Amino acid sequence: MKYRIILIGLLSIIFAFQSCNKIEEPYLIETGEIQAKKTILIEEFTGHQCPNCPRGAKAIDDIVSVYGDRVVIVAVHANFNGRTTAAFPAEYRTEVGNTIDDKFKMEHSGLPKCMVNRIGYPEDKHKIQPEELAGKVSEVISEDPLMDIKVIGNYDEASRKTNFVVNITLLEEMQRKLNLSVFITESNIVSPQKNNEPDFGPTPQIDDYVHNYVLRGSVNGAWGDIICIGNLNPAGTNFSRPYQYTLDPDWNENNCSLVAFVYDPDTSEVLQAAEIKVK
Amino acid sequence: MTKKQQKIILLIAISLVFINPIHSFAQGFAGPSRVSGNFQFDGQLYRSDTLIGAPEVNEQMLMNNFANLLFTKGDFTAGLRFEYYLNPIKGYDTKPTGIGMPYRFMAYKTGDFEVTAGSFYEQFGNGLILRAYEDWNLGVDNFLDGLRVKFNPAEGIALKGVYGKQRYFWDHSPGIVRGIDADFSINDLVNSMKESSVRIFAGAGMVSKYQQDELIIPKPGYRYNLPENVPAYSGRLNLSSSNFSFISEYAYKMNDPSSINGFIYKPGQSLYLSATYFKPGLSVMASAKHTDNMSYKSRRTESTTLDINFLPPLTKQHTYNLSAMYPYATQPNGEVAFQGQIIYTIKRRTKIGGNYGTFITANYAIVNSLNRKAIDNDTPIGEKGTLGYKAALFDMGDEKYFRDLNIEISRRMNRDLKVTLQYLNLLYNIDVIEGHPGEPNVKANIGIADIQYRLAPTKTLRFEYQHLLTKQDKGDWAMALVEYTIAPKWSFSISDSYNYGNPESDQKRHYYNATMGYTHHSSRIALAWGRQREGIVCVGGVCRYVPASSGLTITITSSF
Repeated sequence: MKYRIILIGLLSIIFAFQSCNKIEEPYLIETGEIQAKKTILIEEFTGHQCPNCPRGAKAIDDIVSVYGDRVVIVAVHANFNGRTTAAFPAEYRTEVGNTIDDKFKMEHSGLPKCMVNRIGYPEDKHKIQPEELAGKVSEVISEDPLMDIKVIGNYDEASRKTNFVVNITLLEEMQRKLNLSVFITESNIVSPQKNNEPDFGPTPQIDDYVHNYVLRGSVNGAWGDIICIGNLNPAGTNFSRPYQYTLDPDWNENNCSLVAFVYDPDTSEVLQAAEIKVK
Repeated sequence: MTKKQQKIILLIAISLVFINPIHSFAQGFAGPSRVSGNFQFDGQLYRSDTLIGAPEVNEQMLMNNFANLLFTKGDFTAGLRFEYYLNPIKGYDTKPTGIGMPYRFMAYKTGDFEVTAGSFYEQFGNGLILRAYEDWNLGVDNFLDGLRVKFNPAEGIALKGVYGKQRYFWDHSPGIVRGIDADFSINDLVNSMKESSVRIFAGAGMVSKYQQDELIIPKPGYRYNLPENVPAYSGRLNLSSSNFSFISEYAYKMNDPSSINGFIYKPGQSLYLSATYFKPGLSVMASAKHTDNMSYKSRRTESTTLDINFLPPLTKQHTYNLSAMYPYATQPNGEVAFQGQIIYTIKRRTKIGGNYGTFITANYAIVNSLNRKAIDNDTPIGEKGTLGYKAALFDMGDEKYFRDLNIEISRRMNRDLKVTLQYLNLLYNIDVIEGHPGEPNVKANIGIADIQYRLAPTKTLRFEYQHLLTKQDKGDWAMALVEYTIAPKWSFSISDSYNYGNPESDQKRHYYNATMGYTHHSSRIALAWGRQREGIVCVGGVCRYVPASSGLTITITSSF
C-alpha cells in the first residue's frame, strides 16, 4: 500500500513539473521578412453590419504587411451581415459573393472568417479565424508553386473597359482539372462599419471606415472557366485566356484590381493567384 | 508526439503495471449481461415568418437526433452513441451536419481499479480546471477521447488520471489534454475523526494541455512566443455537518495566450466559496466567486467550443419564460460574483403559514467586472503580447454585468389549489453578455403568478401569468399560459407572449404557442406549434443563441 502511494505521488510530481512551459519576457519574437514563392488567395468573409469584422480586416492588414504581393485578398461581403439599412446604405454584396458563400457556408458559422486557398473544403476545415490566419498562410505559402500566372492588360478611360490576358504556365507536369476565375475588387471605399472593439475605432460604429479588397464582381462567373479537363500536361504548358470587362460607373477605377486564380474544381483548392491594378 | 509526452505515457504505463496485478483482469465478467439505451429526436418544421424575422429554411425541416446504447456484463461496460444532424436545427453549430458515431467506449472495473478506453465524461472538483460534459439542448459536448484510469489505493483516497483529445464535432481538437486528480476523505484517513459529525473532503488536481506552436502575428515582423504546454492546478476543501456545509476551490492557470483573452500572458486564477447553514424550515446560503482569465481551451484560437474547464455560475437559473429572458452567461475573462439565498418555510397550521405551510425563497446575486489595473505606465490594460493587467482577488470593478434580486412565495391554499408568486428585479449588461456593443444595460422588473388547480386526482389545470417591464432592449412583455395535465400520460398547453412594449411599433408581436405531450411508459412525444422569439438560452452560465423561428417542433424521447 505504502509503495503504491509513493509511486503515485512520484508520478504526480513528475507530471506536474513536466507538463508546463512558463514563458518569460519578451513574449514576442522578431521574425523579420518572411520569404515566399507561392501567391495565395485569401477570401475574407465580412460585412459592414458585423461588429467583429474589423478584427478580421486587421488580421488581413497584418498579413499583407508581412507578405506583400505574395497574398491576394478578396473581401466577400456576406448576405446577412452585408445587408443595407438607412445607417449602412452601401451595397457591397454581389451575386458572385453570395454564390460562393452558399457553397462554403462561411457566414453560417459566424464572421469574420477567411479561406486560405479554399484549403480544407469539404472537410469543414476551410473556415479560418483571424487569429489562425497567419499560421495557415505561413503553412501554405512555403509550398512550391505549381504554376505561374501573369495578367497583362490595358484600360480605356472613355469606355471604362479593361482588356486583358491571363497567361498560365505550368511549372511541373500535371494531370488535374483546372479552372480559372477572374474577380474585380475595389479598395479605399469609405462608409460606416459596425465595430465592438475600441482598439480598431469608435464603437458601436466607425463612420469613416475604409473598406478594402471589396469583391465587386466576376469577369467569368462564380466558378470561372475550365482551362484544363484533367488530361496530362507537361511542365511548361501554357494556357492563355483573353477577357474584356466594363467597370461600373460607381467604382473608382484607380482603386480597382483584377484578381486571377486557378483552382482544382474537384477539391476547390486554389493553386496559384495573381493580382494587377486595372489602371 | 514529443519526447516529453512519450516519457509521461511510459511512466503512467509502468506505474499501472506495478500498482495493479494483471491477474485481476480475469475477474468480473461473470455477471449478467444487460443492454440499455436511450434515444432523442428533435425535429423542427419551419415556416417562414417575416414578422418575427424567422427566415425561410431550404430543407423545410431540420433535425438533431441521438441514440445511446450501453452494454454491461459484470464489471465490463461498453457503449456508443449515434448522432444525426440532418441538417442541424437553427441555432446549433452547423459543423456536425451529417451522421456519425463520435462517442464509443469500453470500461472495465475490478475492485479498486477502473479503466476506460475511448470516449468519456469527467470532472475534477467543481470543474474549474476540467469538466468534460454534454448538454444536448445547449449543443455542448466536449468529451475526452483517450484513456481514463480510476484507482482507490486506500480507503478514503480516490485517484483519477485522464489522457486524451477533446471532441470537436466529428473531429478532435488539435490539443491534447492530460490530467490527474485526487480526492481525500479526511474522516476515513484520520482515525480520530472517523466518528466525527463533521465530514471533511479535500482534493487536488492538475491538468495540462499541449498544443503545437503556431505562427500568430501580433504586429508586422513579430510573432508570439507561445507556450505549448499550459498547466492548470486546483485545490479544494469541503466540509459538511448536519446543519452546515462549506465548499471551496481555488484554481490557477499558467500563461495561456489565446483569442479569448486577447493573447495576454497573465496567469489565470479562480476562487469559489460557498457556505450553507440549514435547519428545519430555514436554509441560508452565501457564495462568492472570483474569476480572472480562466478561459482554458484545447485550441488557442477557438472562440466558442473546446472548453476544458467549467466556471460554475453564481446566479439563480430561472425557468419561467420571461424570467429566463435575460440569463447570465459566465465571463471567463474576469468577473467578481456574490450570491445570497434564504429559503424559509412558515410552519403549517399557523395563521400566516396556512394549513400546508408557505415557502419563501429570496435570492440576490451580483456580478461585476474585475478591477483591472495597468501593469506599468506604458502598457495599456489588456495589451496583447504582455502580461495584460493586474487584478487582486475579489477586487470588484465598476462595470455591472448582472444583478438579480428575486423573491418566490409558494403556498398550497387547500387540497387542490397551489399558488406560486415570483418577483424579479434584474440588471443585465446586454453589451457584455450578448455582445451588443453600445446598447444600454437592461433593467427589468418581472412578476409571475403560477396557479395550479387539481380538478380530479389525475387532472390538473395550471395557469401562468408573467409580466416583464423594461425601458430597454425590446421593451415590455406580457405572457399567459394555460396548461391541462391528465396524469400520467397527457399534457396540453396554450400560451402567448406579447411584446406589446417594443419601441418599434411594427415589432409589437405575439409569440403564440400550443403544445401537447404524450407519455407512454418510458417514451414521450411532445409537439409544439408556434413562434420562438430570438434570444439566448443558458444552462450553468453556458449559453446558446436561439434565432427567431416559427413552425412545429417534435421531440421524441425513449429509453429501455
